[in-house]
Amino acid sequence: MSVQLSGIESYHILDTEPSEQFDKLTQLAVKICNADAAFVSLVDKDRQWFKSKIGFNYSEVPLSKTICQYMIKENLSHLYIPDLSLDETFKEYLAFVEFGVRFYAGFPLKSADNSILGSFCVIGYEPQLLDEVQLEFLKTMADQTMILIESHKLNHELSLQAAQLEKRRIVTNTAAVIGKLGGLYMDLSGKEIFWTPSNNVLFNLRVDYAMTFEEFESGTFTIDNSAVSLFEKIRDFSISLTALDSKYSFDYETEDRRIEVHCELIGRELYVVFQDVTVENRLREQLQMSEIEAVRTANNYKSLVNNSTFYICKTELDGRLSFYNDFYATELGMSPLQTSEDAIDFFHSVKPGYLDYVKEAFFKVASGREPKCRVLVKETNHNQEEVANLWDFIGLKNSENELSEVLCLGYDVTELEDNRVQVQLLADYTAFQNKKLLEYNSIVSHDIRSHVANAVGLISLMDLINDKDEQQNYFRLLKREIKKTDRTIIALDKLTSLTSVFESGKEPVSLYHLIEQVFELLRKTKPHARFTAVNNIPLDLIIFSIREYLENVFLNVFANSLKLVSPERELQIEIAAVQITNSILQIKIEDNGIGIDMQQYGDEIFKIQRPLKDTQYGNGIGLYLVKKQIEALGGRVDIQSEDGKGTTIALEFLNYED
Amino acid sequence: MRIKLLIIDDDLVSLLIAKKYLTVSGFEEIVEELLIFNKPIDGLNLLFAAEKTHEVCQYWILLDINMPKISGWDFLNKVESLNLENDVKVIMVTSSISEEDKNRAASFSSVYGYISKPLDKRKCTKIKQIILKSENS
Repeated sequence: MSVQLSGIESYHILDTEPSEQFDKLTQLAVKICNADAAFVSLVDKDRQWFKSKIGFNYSEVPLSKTICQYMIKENLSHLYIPDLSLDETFKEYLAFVEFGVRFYAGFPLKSADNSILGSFCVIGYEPQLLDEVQLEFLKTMADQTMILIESHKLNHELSLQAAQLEKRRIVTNTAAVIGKLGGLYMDLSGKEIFWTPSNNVLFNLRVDYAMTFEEFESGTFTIDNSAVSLFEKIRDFSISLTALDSKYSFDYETEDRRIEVHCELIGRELYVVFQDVTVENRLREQLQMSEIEAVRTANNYKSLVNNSTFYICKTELDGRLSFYNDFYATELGMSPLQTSEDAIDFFHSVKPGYLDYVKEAFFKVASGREPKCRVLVKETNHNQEEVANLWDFIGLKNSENELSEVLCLGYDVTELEDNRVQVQLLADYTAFQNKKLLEYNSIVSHDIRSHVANAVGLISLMDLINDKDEQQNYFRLLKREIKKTDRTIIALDKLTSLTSVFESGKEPVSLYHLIEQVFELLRKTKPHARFTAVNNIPLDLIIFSIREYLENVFLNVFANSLKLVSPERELQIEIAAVQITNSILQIKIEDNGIGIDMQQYGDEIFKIQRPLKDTQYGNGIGLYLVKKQIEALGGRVDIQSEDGKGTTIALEFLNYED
Repeated sequence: MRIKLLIIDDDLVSLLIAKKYLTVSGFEEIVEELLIFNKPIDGLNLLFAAEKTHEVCQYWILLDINMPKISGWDFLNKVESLNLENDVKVIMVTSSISEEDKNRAASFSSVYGYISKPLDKRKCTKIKQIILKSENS
């Protein structure tokens, strides 16, 4: 039988504190055996260490040549030496030689696997005899000591396990807190339950609580808080008929948590997962709130940006559009036919005539020479109509304070611009009216004044001259001057009344038919005149005017053309109407006659040189009357002619499109 | 210096009045010849004709403004642009009462006076004074 010495480390007893339990045994041994000392020695590799000792103070001694070691080495059941001095072997031993020990009795401490850990011994300084009972007692003490050692070993292992369990508990708790997960597994047929300890954290249960299958099966839970209702719900699910192979999820609220519960029954196995979604839920709510807030803010900005009044767009420094609002897109953006996205720049809608001007202003800002710039631009909108837009170009800087983009804000001023043009035209008309007034002034100052001056002169001559016949002649001349004056005043009244046309005199006139009637009249009154008339006036063009004046105007204009027929070709008169703005209608009368030398006579054509004489004699009055009558109708007349090629007379009326 | 006085006016009555008053005002004493023109073009033609014969004399013209075809202004422009050998001095005699015409007349260097119609003794005396003053200086 082999004896194993080692394995003492596995007992974790060396160098531990003295133990009362061990000491009680050694004290008892001293008493029972009347010994001087008793001890429990444990054998290490090179020493003998005393777990308990009564009667001496050494805590350990070197292992070489101790009596205990001898006993262990020889694998003795015990060693009893009444007097060491009489023993051939032991009288050489250190115990006797050094410490004066005379008596020794020891029993080995044997483990269950027969390895010897040490010994239980009594010693004395005088020779001593022990009886059977005393020896039997000592053996029992050795056995008891061994039990204590085994117990110590077990205790140690248990404490290690307990520590490890505690660690696992802490880890599980931490995991439950951090991971916010718990769970429950149940084999309903095998009546097994696995309870995840983190559940206790999630539901604020006792730390050591673990649900038993009986609890679950009976439905009487030993849980002291409201979580009971949760488990009752799970239990109800597990026993419901529809639960098989189905899933069931619900939310559960504790005082401070929100927990999602997911149950699944697969066969007779129930899987339950608990997930703490308190933080997620709070975050989700916050996220939803901020989402709503963000959407509201975005909508606010969107409604600001995508208004239907202003154009807002951003461009790169080269003019390429990087952003534009809906209004821009619908009014000035690319038409659906233009699909290439890379080519769209700010200038694509600008009318060619404005391009250089707009680019100059834009690049003033884009190059940083000006912080902002305002231009009035004519552009073509999506309906291919011309619109006038007022644009502000504003340079935008990036976070490095470098110019990076140009913000373009535009406002459609087409209506304003039209109004401005109309105001300008009205101003022109007013200027014409004013000029007309000056002409009347001139008539009054020249013509009437000349007759009156003559009359005054004649009267003074009558005073001067005594000759009756001569006086008679002056009197005759005087009468004539007064008659002339009278005629002038009457003619003047007629002229002025031409200009004071009242609105009530106007009526809707179909221009096409009116012109046709005038041609008819011309053909009747001048049967020898040869001419072709091309009437391009739209049939539905109705103008609100005075029929008689219009007839006169066209009669005079056509008569003028008939006077200027070229001998080389038959006269053709062509009439067309153009609505220049929504308030001004232009009627063009074009002939292919000999034309008028504008350089020589241009200024004179409508001028009043001796207008009243003209009216008196009724010649050369044509165009002058045209001018007067058109002006009376609130319009103006313009003449263009090339000598030898023909004459174009443009009549402009105030005529509102609608 | 021999003085020839031209009256240019399209109005016959006006001419009659002028002729009568100039006569009674004793213009024969200072003027060698009194010439009356109903059409401005005839007056111009006379000046052109005198140019050709190299006749040396001083022309004074009483000129109306409002006339058909060639107005008083046209007449003045023509005379001033031609740079005639014979000096031509003009006195405007017109029915116009407008300041504008008066100022315009003053802008011509050959215009020496501006008289409003009708002529009478007093105005004729004034014309005489203008002529004499100019000739004696």
